[in-house]
Amino acid sequence: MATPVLDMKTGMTPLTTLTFHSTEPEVISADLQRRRSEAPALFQGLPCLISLQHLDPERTSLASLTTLLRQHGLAPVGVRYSSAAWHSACDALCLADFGQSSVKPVRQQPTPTQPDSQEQELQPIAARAVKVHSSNVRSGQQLYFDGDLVVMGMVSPGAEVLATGDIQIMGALRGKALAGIKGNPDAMISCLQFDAQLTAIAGHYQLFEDDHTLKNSSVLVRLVDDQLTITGSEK
Amino acid sequence: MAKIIVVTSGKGGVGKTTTSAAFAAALAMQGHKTVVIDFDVGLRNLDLVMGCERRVVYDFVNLIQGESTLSQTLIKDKRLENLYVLPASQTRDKDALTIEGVEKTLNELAKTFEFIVCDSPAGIEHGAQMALYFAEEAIIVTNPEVSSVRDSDRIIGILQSKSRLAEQGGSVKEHLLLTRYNPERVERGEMLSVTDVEDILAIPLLGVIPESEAVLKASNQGVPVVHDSDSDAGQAYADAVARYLGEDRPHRFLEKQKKGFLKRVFGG
Repeated sequence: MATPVLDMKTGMTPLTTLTFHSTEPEVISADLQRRRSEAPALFQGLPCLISLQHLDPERTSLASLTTLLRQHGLAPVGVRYSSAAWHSACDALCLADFGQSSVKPVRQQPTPTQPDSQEQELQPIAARAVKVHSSNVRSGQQLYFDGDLVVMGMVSPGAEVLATGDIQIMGALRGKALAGIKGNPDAMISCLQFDAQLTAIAGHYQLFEDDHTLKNSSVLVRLVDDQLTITGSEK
Repeated sequence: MAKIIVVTSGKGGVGKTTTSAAFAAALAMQGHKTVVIDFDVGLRNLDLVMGCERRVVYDFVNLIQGESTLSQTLIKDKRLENLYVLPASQTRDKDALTIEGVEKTLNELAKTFEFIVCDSPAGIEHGAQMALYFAEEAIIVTNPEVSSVRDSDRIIGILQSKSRLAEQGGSVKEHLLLTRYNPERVERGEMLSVTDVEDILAIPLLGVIPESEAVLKASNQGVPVVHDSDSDAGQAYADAVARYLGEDRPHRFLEKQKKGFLKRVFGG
């Protein structure tokens, strides 16, 4: 049998989406420069999408915006929230249309360098549903809840707890805990005795093959600047 | 009202059949009318450990399929007045066990017996689920070893979700029985300690059975190890059953045996 010339595989590849709150090239350039100096390695060749949601095709040139991003080392590959008015520009720049699909919600916090974000209307915070699981989660069991999850017991090795919101474990976490699984970066995981196999928040995960320095302490797991951060409570 | 106890572990070779035999024999010794059922259809072993393999005429599957009556199928123990064995079939497979058939048999046994001990096959599939489905109490047999502990954790999860009591919103009472325990190896860090296992499984400890030559000898001779009252394992099983029946006995065989003066001089 002849070897196929081409293999096609579909997968989930994380992509960074850039949302602009200002259209001034100088302001954007300065902000990119600052971020790039913080993490030069991350920026080099980083594939990204441009969100066109807040941009006006009459006033913004997609070509110059793309050039600006490329100058800062980024590799724009496509656009999101595109409309008919953008089509010709996208085609000319060979930017793919990634549709209207949801992007991770932007955290509602004022950034000093972007004064106009202050004016954004703060969305009302809706209370999330909470589920209390009143026993241990044993190996091979999987617990999922759309909301916050409280486990009144331990999570054994080989068990998995998943929630779209926070996960609180009133015992030992020895299995896997995945919070914010629909992309909420503010989700948190807390447990009284930390010995997890894996923790994840909004898709950012960490495996613990070797013993963690905070093993068996009470910890809080959060996402800080897209980095999974584990903090022990004060003794 | 009869009490249905399942002896289960998930993992194979940890001592389920040895425990079922010893536990049932010890219950009978204490004067309780007990039957022990082999659920390991296709790989029957309980009759060997109970020393009645040559007296098996009909088996559990015959009984379920109406080919024999209960009195024809039950084998009376040679040594103990109150003890009966319901053997498994060697020629069939586990699919021959049905919920309805098992329930009918258990209901019939419950009329005459105080304790029904169900010896579960290894694994988490049909056979094991049949053995645990009607259980009110479970003895989780675990070796002080990570894979055994993991499998026990898994089977506890199944007890808590797939047993009849769990389906009705109740819960099966769990007991941890740690077998093949070797305090010296625990001290050397080669084996999990009782505390480690209790910490991971978080169920009450019923007993610790030391690793003992008496167990293999008893199995090969077809005499449940509790009959060997001089052996450490026999005594440990007797303790566990006494505890199960409500007696308060301290746990033994948890520490390394200190060698006496003579043993140190002459070896031992």
